[in-house]
Amino acid sequence: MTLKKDNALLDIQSDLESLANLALEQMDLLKTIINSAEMEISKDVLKQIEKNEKDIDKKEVKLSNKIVNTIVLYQPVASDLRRIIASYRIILNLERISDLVVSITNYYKKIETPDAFSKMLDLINNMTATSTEMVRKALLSFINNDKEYAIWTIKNDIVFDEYNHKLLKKIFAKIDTTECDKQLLVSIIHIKEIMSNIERIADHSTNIAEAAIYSIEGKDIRHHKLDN
Amino acid sequence: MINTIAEIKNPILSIRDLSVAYDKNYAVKSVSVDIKKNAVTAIMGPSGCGKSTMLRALNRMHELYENITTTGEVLLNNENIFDMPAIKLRRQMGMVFQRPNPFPTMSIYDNVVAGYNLNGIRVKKSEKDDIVERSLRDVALWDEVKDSLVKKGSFLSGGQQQRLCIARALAFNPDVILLDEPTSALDPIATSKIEDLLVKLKENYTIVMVTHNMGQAARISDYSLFLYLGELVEYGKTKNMFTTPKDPRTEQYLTGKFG
Amino acid sequence: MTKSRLTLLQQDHSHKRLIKDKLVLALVIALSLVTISPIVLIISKLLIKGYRQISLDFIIKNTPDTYEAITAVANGEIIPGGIANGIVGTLLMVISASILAIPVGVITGIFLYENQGKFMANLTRNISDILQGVPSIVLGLISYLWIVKHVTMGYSALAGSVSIAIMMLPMIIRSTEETLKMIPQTLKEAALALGVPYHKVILRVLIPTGFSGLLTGILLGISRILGETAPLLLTALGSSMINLDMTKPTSAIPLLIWEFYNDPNMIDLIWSSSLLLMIMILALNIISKQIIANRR
Repeated sequence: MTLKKDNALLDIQSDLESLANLALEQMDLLKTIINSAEMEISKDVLKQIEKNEKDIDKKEVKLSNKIVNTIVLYQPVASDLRRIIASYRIILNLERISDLVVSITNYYKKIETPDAFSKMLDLINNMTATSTEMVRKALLSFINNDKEYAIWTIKNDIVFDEYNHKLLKKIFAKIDTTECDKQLLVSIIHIKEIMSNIERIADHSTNIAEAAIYSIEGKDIRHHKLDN
Repeated sequence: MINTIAEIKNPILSIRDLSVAYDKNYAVKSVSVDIKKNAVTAIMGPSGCGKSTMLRALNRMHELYENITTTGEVLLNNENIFDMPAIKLRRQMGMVFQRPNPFPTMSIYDNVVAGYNLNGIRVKKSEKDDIVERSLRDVALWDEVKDSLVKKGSFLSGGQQQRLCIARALAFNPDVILLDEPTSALDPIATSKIEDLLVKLKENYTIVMVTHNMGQAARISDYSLFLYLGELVEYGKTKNMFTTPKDPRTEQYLTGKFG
Repeated sequence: MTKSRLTLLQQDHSHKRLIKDKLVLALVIALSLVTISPIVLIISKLLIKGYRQISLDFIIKNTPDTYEAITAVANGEIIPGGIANGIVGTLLMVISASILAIPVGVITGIFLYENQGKFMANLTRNISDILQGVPSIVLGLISYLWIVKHVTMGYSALAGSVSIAIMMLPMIIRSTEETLKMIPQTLKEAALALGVPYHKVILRVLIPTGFSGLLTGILLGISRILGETAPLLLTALGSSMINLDMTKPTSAIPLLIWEFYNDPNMIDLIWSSSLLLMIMILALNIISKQIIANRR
């Protein structure tokens, strides 16, 4: 009697796994970029990253739809329900991860002081590796119902935040410039952070609007251009 | 067995170690649970797991049959139901059955006050009129039948007949209404009307309902009991049980691993 | 080539089927006619031979004696008198029998219904079935022994009533039990859930609900005994006057038919008497069907 429901849930699971693999691939590609120690990103790598991004966007919309259909048709409860809601949350975050990778490559291209970058290469390398591991372990914890990996990721995040903080200080220690300039740099960085956060608020408002249109018209217009 | 009865203060029904056996086979095994007043409590579980048996034990319907033994304690408003006269118990606990069963030889009016008539309880005509109107209003049937009270109930639809049966149970102004799969013989629209009615009724009455329809339990019950093979496996607030069941058997039942 | 062969086969089939249909239909009609022919023949014969005799007098006056009959026949007139004594006697005994049999039958039927599967109930049911098969004359004998010899010290209407009451009993018991069994269990449960004690459930819910079934059984019983003759021969004996005393012999329509048959002078009266009896039975059937229809 639950054959269709079980199949639908398995289907969502496998779609989620392929989406997860794409996101992890993005992170691996990022790693190769940073590892290469070149400021030039190879064309192939860039192309692959862009292709993956489009793929992930498409898959995200499709998978969202599948999840909605499964809820309405089979009214899952208990662990089935939790799993499907968790899947929904996860794909939102996976899509964001891929977005961030693309955004990083954009900024990468714009760096004009390769020396400054190369001094921080090790640290950034570490960070990339660690965060990739965190994403991988978090996904595995969901796919394999393994609490340990999930706990590891959450605990690691705290470490990561601290790491992030210390990193900034280290960066400034390594830079060769006046105290005045250093202070200016710090301020600009902080200002940039503020602007980024505001931009993210704007992004969230767009997400809310897209959700409103979904609610009104049943159309998922994420990643599409608005026609009207 | 997982149980959260500690939360319920002043339960209207206190069931302790209720067991019901057909000859030597136990259909209900030592169930203990508190029922909250003015709430809808659903009794769920796969077919043949003792749900109806447990419900019928609450108003002592099993006493009719010699081969059924009931043990345990059930307190209604702190009175043991096995110590009070059956007629008194059944005035406080009405029952509605799966198939609508208005008495075919009686008019709608007489059906509503059948409890009084059949028991030879003398009531003034004006009081009877009030009871009939109040009960039929409570089940949203008054406007539909007020001009045909003397007609026999056979012209009513299934859903209306079932509402008439509920009105018949309400005529005694009971504390608790027991319902045994009240909508499984009805079409979806009638079902939905009765579900709305039950939610409205819980303001003044306590509803205990057996249902094999999980969706229905989810839709209208505040508390749910999961009975499996005669045992109380889990009991708690419906929304919690349906999102995060504590017992693996509940989990399996809800996700359809056995039904 | 194959196509034409197939269509040929198809045509053949339906033809055969039509013929079969018509044959069977003809057979069914023929057999039905055979079945109803006795009744048609009987009633038409009774009507033709008996209608002349039926008049108000026929119903009001008592039986004539042989001499009046001879005179009338010799003169080519209708035999005077009537069968009032028979009508009154039949009514008296049927009503008394009903008063005896209905309560006992219904209560026994309830007893059987209540105790399905129990030894006593099964025994009672079996005895009731056996009783139904006992020849009516044997029942007359029994009533003769019990009542004629020991109670009324002579032939009496009471003895007659008892014998036909015993005949009615199995039918009433059987139909009561079957009617009650057909009432859905849920009705009983509904009444019980209202706190109604069990005996009241039976009296005030089950019996009224099953009323038409019970009535059918009772009326079936009555229409059966209306025409019973053999037991009455040994118990009521007969009488030429109207008699309302239960302890004295009384007449009955079937008894009178027997008497008329045996008296060559009165033989003409058998047709009208039989016709009247048939009319009574027919009327009873129609009335009972009406009552049941009205209750719906």
